[in-house]
Amino acid sequence: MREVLVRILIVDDKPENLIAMQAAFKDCGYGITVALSGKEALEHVQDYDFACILLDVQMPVMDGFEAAKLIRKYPRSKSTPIIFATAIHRTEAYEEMGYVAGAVDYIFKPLNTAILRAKVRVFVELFLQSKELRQKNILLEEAIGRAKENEQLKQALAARDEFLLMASHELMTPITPLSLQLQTFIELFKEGKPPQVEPARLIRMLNTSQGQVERLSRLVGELVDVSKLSSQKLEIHKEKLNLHTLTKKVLEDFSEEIKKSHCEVSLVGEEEVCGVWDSFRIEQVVINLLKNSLKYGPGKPIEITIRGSHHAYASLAILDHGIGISKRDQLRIFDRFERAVSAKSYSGLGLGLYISQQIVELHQGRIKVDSELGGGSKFTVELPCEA
Amino acid sequence: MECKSILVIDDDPAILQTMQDVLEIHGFRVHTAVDGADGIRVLQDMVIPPCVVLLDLMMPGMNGWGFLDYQKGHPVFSKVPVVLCSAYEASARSVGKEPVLIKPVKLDTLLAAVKVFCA
Repeated sequence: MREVLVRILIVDDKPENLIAMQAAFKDCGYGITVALSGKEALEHVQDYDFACILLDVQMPVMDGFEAAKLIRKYPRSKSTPIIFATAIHRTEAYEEMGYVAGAVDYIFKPLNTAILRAKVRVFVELFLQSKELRQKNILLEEAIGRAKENEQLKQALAARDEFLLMASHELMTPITPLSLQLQTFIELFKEGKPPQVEPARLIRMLNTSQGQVERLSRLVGELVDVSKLSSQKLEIHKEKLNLHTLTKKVLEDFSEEIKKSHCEVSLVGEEEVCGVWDSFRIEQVVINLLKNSLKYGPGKPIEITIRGSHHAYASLAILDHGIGISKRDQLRIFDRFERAVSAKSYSGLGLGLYISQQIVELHQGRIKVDSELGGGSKFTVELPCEA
Repeated sequence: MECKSILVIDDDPAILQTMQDVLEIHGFRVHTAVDGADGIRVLQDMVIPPCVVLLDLMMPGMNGWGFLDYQKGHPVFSKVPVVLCSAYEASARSVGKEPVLIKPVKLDTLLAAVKVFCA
């Protein structure tokens, strides 16, 4: 049971006293460290945790009281029990001095071996008990830490499961029209004669199918981006860009969607805001923010402001008048697998803001939101202009 | 032959468009609505109610449940049969006795389901 080596320190300026005391603890199984002066004792107390210190009072240079005061100043020995051993100072006044200096017990020379051993054994037992308590405490703290980690892991897993369920529904949605159309085409063309359907309708159906394939590949692309971001494999290829030109192009590419949402989108601010960024990824950020504004604020105006030609940072702010985001939800919308609204009401994987934030951060920029529930949202992206 | 019209309510434009194309190719007259409230408006505008409503459940604005609440309490529209069309099977099954189509729905299944009500 006593695997732990218990060390005690014996301090006395007379070698013969040290030998006598060492002999007194023969067979006790303690590790004995000896010191011939207070100075030497101070070196030892920094190196070991002693169960107790036997300290001679009468020593040259530094007496026992002085040594005890200094021993108390080291973190390792600040509460190590000190037993003073003295031959001449048997007066109460001196005993008191010993206690003030940090002694917990007093023993008088000539030493009675049995008393000495008994007194030391009490402190050794205390030492072992407190050591055991400390170890149990450490184990307990570790267990608590592991439990907390487990809880966090469980929550992360639950969020991931929920995300997978939502993502599979989201991936399934384009398959509904795609599969209905393909089955219809197969049926229409199966007889080997021209189908009895007007060409305009056929072309529209084919376009819808094509649109669904694009939608699927966009969703899969987002999933790929997320896994690349999680494994730090998303690469940024920087080149000189004008944020205004890039945004204008996004608005042109999305003119159909903008029209469908009945939103009036205006682009204001400066027209020459250049920096060194990844054009594909920054375009992705602008698209994500634009699509959110269209999705959550249909029929309401959207204002995009670009500034920063004279500053170290370029900024793009997109202001909508949609459903807005509560202060509480603002804290989590940039997290992976998080969205402020139910996936059942709004389509999409809910990854757009997470991906956007990660892209912006890979550019050493930042993205922030200013919004209130029911009062629209303003997302601002700031990017350093220098590479 | 009087009653071959169908009202499709779905917030997904591609699904709505496809349902319309596919059902029209098969000889049905199709009306569309983008959410529950829109569905109610379309119903109110129709001179003769449709023979069946194909209803999505999860929609922004008024969802499928909202539409059903209104429809079931209406003297005329409550007689119009509703087929639920959803990707969430458990939610759809728990609504009530309405028939359920699970997305992605097969063409045969879709046609068979509407033909029950549009002979």
